[in-house]
Amino acid sequence: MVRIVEIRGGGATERRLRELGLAEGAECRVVRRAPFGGPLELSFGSTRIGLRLADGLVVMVEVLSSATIAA
Amino acid sequence: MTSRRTLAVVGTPNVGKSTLFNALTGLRQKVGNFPGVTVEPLLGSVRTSEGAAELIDLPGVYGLDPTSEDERMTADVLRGEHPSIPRPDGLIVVLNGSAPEKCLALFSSLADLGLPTVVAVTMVDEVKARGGAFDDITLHHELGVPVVSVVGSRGIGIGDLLDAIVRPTVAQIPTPVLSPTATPTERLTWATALVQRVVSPGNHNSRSEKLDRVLLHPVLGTVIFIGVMAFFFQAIFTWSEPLMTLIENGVAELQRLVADTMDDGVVQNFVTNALLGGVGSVIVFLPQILILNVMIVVLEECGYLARAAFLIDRFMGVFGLQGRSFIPLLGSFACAIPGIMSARIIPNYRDRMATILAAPLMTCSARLPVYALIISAVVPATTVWGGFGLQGIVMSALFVAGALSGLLLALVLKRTMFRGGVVPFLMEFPPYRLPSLRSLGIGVIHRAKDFLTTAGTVILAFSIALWILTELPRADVSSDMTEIQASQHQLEQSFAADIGRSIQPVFEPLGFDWRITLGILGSYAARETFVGVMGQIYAADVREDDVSLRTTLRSRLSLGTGLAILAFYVYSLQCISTMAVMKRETGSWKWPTISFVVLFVLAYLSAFIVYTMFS
Repeated sequence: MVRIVEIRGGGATERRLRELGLAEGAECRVVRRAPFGGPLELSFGSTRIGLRLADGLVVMVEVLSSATIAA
Repeated sequence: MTSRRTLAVVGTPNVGKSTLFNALTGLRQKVGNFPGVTVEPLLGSVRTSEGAAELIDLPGVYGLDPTSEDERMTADVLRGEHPSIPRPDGLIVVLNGSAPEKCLALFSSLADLGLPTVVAVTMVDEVKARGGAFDDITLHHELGVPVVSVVGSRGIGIGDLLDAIVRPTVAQIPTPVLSPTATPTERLTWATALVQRVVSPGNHNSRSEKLDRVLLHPVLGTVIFIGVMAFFFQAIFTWSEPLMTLIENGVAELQRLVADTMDDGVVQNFVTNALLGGVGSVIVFLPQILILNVMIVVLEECGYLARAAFLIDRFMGVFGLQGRSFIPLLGSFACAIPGIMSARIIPNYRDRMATILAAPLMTCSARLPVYALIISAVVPATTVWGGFGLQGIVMSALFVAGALSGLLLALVLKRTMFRGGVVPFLMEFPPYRLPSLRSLGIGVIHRAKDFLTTAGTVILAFSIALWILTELPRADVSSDMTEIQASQHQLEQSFAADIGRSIQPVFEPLGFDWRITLGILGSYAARETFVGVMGQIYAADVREDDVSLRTTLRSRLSLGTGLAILAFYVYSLQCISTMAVMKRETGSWKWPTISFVVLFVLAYLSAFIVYTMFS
C-alpha cells in the first residue's frame, strides 16, 4: 500500500488520474506489473487501472506497507 | 429540423450505458465492456405516452475536460458546440449503482449545464446480489432530479424511466451542486461523501481480482494471451470449414439443378454463371467472417480486451505505440472501418495517426475469402507438427505478416512524420462479465447483414457487369467443340479478356495472367469480389469437372502465382470505404492517398519477390 504524496507534470494523464480518484492523500495498492517491464496495475477505491509510468509523469508516494512488487 | 425532443444518454465508461440505450430504443447496436467502445454517436427513437423522442448515445466521459477525440465529441455536444450534432434538450445520466463515485462526480459537472436531467441507476441488481442496498429516494432528494433504477438487459424499470422523462412529477433541472471551477478531486470528495449515505456496498466481489491473478500473471498471463490469440486465428480457419463446405455444396447443388431444369440459353447461363458463380462463391465465406466477429465481440464484452491492452503495452511500445492502439488494430482484423473509427480512444494525435495508417494492414474479413480460396488451391492440406494444418499455418503467417508490417509502418511513421514521446498508457479495467447473448446476436446479425448487403449489391452488380463483358461479343463456336471448349473459346474472345489482357502487362512480373488481373481490378470495388470473378471465369470448368471452385483452381494456379497473389493482398489497400473513413478521421485526402500509394508499392514489390522465389 502506498499513499499518494504528489502528482505532477502529466498533463492530460495527470488530470485523468485525478478524475479517477488518484490524488494527493489517496491510498493505492500496486497490484502487479505487466511482463517485460510493462505498465503497473493500480487499485484504489473501487477502481482498477493499468498505468505506464512514462517521462513527464511524476507520482510521489509514501510507502504504508511494503509490497512485493518493485515499481 | 424536427421539433421532437432530443435526449442524450451520458455516463462514465462501462456503466451499462449502451445496454440501457438498447433497452430504450431497441436499436441494434454493439455494447462493449471496455472504455470507449461507442465510437460513433448512435441515434435512436423511443416511443413514449407523450409521443416520440430522439435519443443520442454519447461516448463515455469522466468530466467535461476531454482527453481523447471521442470524449471531445461528448463535451462539444453537451455544450452545444458540436459542428453537426445539435445540443440535446435533456440528459439521461447513467449511474453505476455498484461503483457510483465517478458517475456522481460527472453528474456534478453536468449539473452546471442546466439541462433537464433524469438519473438512471444500473447494476442495482448486482449490489443487491452482494447483500448491499441502494437508496434511490435519498439520492433523488440530494440531486434534485428524478432517480430511477433500471436493469437494462432485462428491461426492468424502463417504463418508469420513460415516465420520469416525459411526465415529470418533480423538477428536472438540477441545481449546481458544486462551483463550476471545482477540481476533479473536489467533485470526487463530494461524490464519495454522498455515496456513503446512499449505498451500503454489501460483500466485496473479488471475482475479477481472482481471475486477474491468473490472466495477468507475468508468465501464465502472457502464455494465456498468446494462446488466446493463436486460438482466435486457428479457429477462424478450422471451425468454419464444415459450414463452408455445406454452403459450397449447396451452391453447387443449385447450379446443377438450374442446369438440369432450365433450358439452355441466356437465362440459364446468367443464373449459373453470374448469380450462383459470382455471388454464390462469395457467400461461402460468411461462416468465417461471422466466427471472426463473434470472437472479437466476446473478447471485448467479457473485459479481456482491456487486459490484453495492458499486457501488450510494452510490446506496442517497441513500435512507438501504446496498449490502447491494440484495440483498434485488433478490431481491424474484422474490418478496418470500425477499427479506424475506434482509434478515437487514443488520446494522443501522433499515436492516433500512426495507428490509423497501420490499420489497413491488419487482415480484414474481406481478405479472408481471397486467402482461403488461394490457400486451399495452392497449399496442400497436410498436417504438420502434431495437429496443426499446414493451410492454417499459412493463413496465420499471412495474418502475422500483415500485422508486423503494419506495426513496422507505425514505427517508421513515429520515427519520422509523427515524432514525439509516447503518451503513457492509462486504462481502467472493467470487471469481468459474461458476454450477453443478446449483444452477441446483435453483432453477428449486423455483420451478416453487412456482408450479404455487399454480396447482394456491389458484388452482384460487378458479377452482372462481368457476365455481360464475358458473354460479349459473341464468338463463333464450331459444332465440333465440347461445351467447355465452347465456353472457354467465348471467354478468350470476350471484352473481359480484352480488358484483362490490356492491363495484364503491369502485373506480368508478378506472374498474374489476365484472369487474375481481372480479379484484382474487381477487388477495387470490394476485395472479396476477387473470389466472385474467379467463380465466374471458371464456372464452366467447375461444372464440367463437377467439383468446387477451390478444387478447379488447384490445377490452374502455380504455387508461385498463388503465393504472389497472397502477398499482393496482404499489402494492397483496395477498399474505397476504408479510404473514405480515413479521410474523415484524419481530416484530409492526403493520408488516404499516401496510404494507397505506399501500400500499392509494397504489395507490388512483395508479390514480385515472392513470385521470383517460388517459380
